[in-house]
Amino acid sequence: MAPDVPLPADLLPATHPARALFDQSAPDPTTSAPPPPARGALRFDGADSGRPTAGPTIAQLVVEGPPVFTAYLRPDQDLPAYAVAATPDVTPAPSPEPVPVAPKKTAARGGALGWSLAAGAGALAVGSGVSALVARGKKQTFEDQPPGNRSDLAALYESNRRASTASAVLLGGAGLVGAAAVIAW
Amino acid sequence: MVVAAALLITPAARAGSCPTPATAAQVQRSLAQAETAWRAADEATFQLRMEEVLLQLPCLDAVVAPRLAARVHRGTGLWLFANGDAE
Repeated sequence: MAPDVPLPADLLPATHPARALFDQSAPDPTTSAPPPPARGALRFDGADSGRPTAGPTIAQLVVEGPPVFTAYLRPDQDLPAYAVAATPDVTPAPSPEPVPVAPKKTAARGGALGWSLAAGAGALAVGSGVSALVARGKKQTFEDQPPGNRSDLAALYESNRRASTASAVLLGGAGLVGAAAVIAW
Repeated sequence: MVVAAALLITPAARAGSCPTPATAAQVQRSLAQAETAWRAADEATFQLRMEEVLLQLPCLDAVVAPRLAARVHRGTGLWLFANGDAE
């Protein structure tokens, strides 16, 4: 019933059993919010409010002109079908894939490589020097104590040649690696 | 009677499906006739007029006024009580 509209005593006397029911029914302002329509507005009992949850209601969908529908609904009855407004997509848009950026050659990185190459070039140069000393030692041996026979002479010559070749190769490598170190820097 | 009440009290119609639109004045008139019949203990007429109200309601040509809506609820409560629904 509708306690907000007085129920005249001549319509329902105090002695009528329905009067007690009417008087006991306290108004319940609880409402629910149905999905908003795509067009127009929902009205409940003529008001632009939520749907009463405790009692029946007269639901209307009003766009313009006559209502699209008018329905007397008990609390357990669904609204007639209507087009619901699209809810805004609250999921965040996927962020674009990060574009891989070519790593820039930083001064520190280039410096570290340069230093590594320089160290390598230095090692090669040291090796070249050692080989040169070995070759020089063989030459000194040949001059101080020449081999007495042909096979010793051949062996001494061969060892001198290997040391000289190694010295030259290592020195060339040291030069190349040293050049690379300069480029890296 | 209760079954008929249950069927009648769930009217929901698209405005376009009504043979003729109903005005608020027509609903008020039917309600007034139902209330008069209730006072006179004329149950048959009361039932007839309340059924009329519930048939007119889905065909309303305008937004129902809050006061008229409350009056419909009041009449419907009496109608349900008369049909054995004490809730």
